[in-house]
Amino acid sequence: MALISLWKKELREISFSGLALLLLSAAFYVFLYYQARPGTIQIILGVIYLPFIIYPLFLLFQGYRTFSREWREKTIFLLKSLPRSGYEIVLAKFLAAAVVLIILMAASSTGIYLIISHNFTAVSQVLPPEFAALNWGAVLGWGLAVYFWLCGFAYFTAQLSSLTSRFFNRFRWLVTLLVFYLVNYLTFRLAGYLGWLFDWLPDVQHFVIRQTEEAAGLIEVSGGGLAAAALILLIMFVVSSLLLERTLEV
Amino acid sequence: MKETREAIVEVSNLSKKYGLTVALDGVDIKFPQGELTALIGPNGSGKTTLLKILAGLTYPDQGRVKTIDRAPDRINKERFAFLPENDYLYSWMKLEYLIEFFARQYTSFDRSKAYQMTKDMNLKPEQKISDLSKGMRARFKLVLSLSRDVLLYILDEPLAGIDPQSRSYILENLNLEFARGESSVILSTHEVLESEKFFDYVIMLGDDRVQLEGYADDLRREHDLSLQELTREVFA
Repeated sequence: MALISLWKKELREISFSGLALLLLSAAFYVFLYYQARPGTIQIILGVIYLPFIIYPLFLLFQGYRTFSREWREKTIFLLKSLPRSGYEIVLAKFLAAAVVLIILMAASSTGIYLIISHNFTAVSQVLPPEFAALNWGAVLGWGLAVYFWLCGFAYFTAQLSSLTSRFFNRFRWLVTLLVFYLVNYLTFRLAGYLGWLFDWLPDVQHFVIRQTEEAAGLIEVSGGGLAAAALILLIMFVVSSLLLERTLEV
Repeated sequence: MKETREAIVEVSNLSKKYGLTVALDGVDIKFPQGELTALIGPNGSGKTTLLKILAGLTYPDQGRVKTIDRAPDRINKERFAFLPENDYLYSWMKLEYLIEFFARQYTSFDRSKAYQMTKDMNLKPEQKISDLSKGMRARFKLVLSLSRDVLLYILDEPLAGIDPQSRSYILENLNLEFARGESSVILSTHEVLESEKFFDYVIMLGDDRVQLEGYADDLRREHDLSLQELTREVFA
């Protein structure tokens, strides 16, 4: 109950910016919907995924802002006075951001579906014929998994940078940027080692993308790579939680 | 002379620095159980730092703290209430939202008591925090703290910057609530004149260490001065 209550509070905090982005995305897709015709469909298909580039940036911004705002508005006193662990607080914030991301993605996907289905003949004329043979379930499934990981990575990297900058009274922006750069660098170095360390794990699945040609379009997902990616997010989550609960002062 | 009661909070050899600034320097204090202890001292004397350490919001560089027999950790935060000096409430929240929020976060929180106290303090549950005046916010902060049934209340400057009417209202409510149970209160304040009649035990903190401490009546008798006059003399 306590975690749900915290999560609701976080959801309420993020809802304004989330709603603003949702409305902007909706306006964008409405615009594309009315502009889509045989002569413009190639341009439309070129820009239709633009909001999906914006959303990780939104998560990056939220990751940075979520704790810096608590400190700026002194509400961190309330948060740190609660009998809640750092894990619960960080998780509640992340789940709120994740829910907003899912809503944004669902709305955008609906927009894309409506535009494509409404102009299906024009779309099928400009797309290569192999597209029809794609295993769309696999493509979308793995695409979404990678996309979510990327958004989570952006969120936790920004959050960790923002929390680390609280150790300093001056040049917080500079510290945030430096830590952000360092975390990215170290993460990808670490990912290499972790991937090697978990190399013994079996590859998770082979997806045949082109159903018509047996050997072509195989996606081989390395078990080690997956474990490394999951572990990196987990490490960032744990470090942020520990910093908040045991080290950072108000 | 009154015999000192068992300590609810024990601080030994506590030191804290902010950069080059020393906030606390080897402080040893025992806060007696079941008493209203006043922490008095000028600005920068380390009162807020000490209370934040007791509440587990700041960590000492050196020394030990036992708040109700254990470190002020996450589990212990359920056993004491801390009221910080700052406006620490979310401005977009309504009072009723905050009451419900606190009720879900603290098992020691008494929802019906909070609504009753909100009414008694002339506040409306449907008001937003951002719509309240400073005095009203201070009253509501006190409502949230006193609605918890805990062994210890740590109140940092609950009277600061508040009009005299609200101050006396808060003090009366604090005294009324405190008189009901066996709880202990640690209260830091500058407003000695108005509030000294409520103090049981007094600790005067200055120059990063304890300058004077004792039961309020004993100090008045020993020095033949009111606490207000004694404060002026100690910090002159």
